[in-house]
Amino acid sequence: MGYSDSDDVGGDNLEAYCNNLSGNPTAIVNYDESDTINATGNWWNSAAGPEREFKTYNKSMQGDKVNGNVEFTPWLTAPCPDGESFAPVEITNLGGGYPSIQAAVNDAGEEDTILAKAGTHTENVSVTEDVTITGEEGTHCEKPTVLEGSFNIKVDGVTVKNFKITNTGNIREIEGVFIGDSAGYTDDPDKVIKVCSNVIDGINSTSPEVVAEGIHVKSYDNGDQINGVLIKENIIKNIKKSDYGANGIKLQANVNNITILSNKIQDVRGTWIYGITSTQSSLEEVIPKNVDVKHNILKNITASTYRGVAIGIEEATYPG
Amino acid sequence: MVANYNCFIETPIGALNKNQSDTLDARYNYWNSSQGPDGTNGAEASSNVSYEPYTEECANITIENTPMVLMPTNQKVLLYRLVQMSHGPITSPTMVMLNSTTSH
Repeated sequence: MGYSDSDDVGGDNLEAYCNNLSGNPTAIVNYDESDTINATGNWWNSAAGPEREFKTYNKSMQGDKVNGNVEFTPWLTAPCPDGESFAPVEITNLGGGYPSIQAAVNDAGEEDTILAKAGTHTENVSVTEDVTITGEEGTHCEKPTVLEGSFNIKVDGVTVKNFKITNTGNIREIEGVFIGDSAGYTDDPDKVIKVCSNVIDGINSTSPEVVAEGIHVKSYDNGDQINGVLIKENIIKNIKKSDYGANGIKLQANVNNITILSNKIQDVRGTWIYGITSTQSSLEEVIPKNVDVKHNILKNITASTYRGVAIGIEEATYPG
Repeated sequence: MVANYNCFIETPIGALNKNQSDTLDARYNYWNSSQGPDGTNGAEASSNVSYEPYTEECANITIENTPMVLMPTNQKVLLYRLVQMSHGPITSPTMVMLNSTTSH
């Protein structure tokens, strides 16, 4: 059984819910861009929902396929009528369900809270709204919500917490969390960016001559100074770049009032290595100011060519 | 940069400062040796790094089991310095807390 909404069948206002969609190469398809099929509340033969073009949530476990202009979130966690309604991401203060973190960010308003449910979310999230993004609560070392990808925080006042973040790729300098906006950052003196209680474990790029960082804060020459960042109670480990540089935390250029508190940075490996470094950039020959680093453990910061440095202030333009 | 109460474990250089116009305040850290950066297997400190007093221990460094807020354990050095600086009775809340810790 499958559903389609096209000119041939005249599918205006088509709805499909409480269906058990199983064994279909494509369960629902809609190529009519002027009309959306409401297909929420269905069982797609997987608790991870349907297989879709942009696979983000538990992507290896997704069920029957959906194509085109179809709204499918929330879905059922088991066949109807026993399955419960589930969305992998919610805006908790609004109650809306979303298939991806990015979709929730795009729909969020100022100071909304976005909850990413337990499971693996595979996406690079661009955060352009002042929101709190949280994974589900876990133990100190185990976080049930995993992000395979990165957060790029582009605005002030954002909080990211309770995630396990891994990021491996081959296209550019790679981070778990990047704070900055090459298009121009706008600082709000009354707000602070917070990155707290995350496990950033496994940042590695296969591209030659790019650096890997757990957390990277960088200003550019066409925006405000980044003023006010709290990096607290994170575990940052397995940051590795075998033929180049790697950093647990890198602060770069015109950033100010940075507090790095009670983090554990361990197993950072590469040609040259810093646990925490403060340095200028090629665009701004300014070293970060008012950096407060307290109660952190830095262990096994080891380099293959140069000597590993736990905490360093650099003056080179392109330090690790 | 101020970097205090951190632990540098199994890392060749604890603190490096290439900004010759400024001093890196790296006091009250553990340098992988009870004797500080100059001790056997101590993590080194570069020039323009202020590292004294240092702490002699860093307890519970196992990453899976460590409490989130960890202070270097040799508070005697820190307390001694605070008393030295205070030139009199310990009055601030922070100093009272440290005094209590070292009494056990």
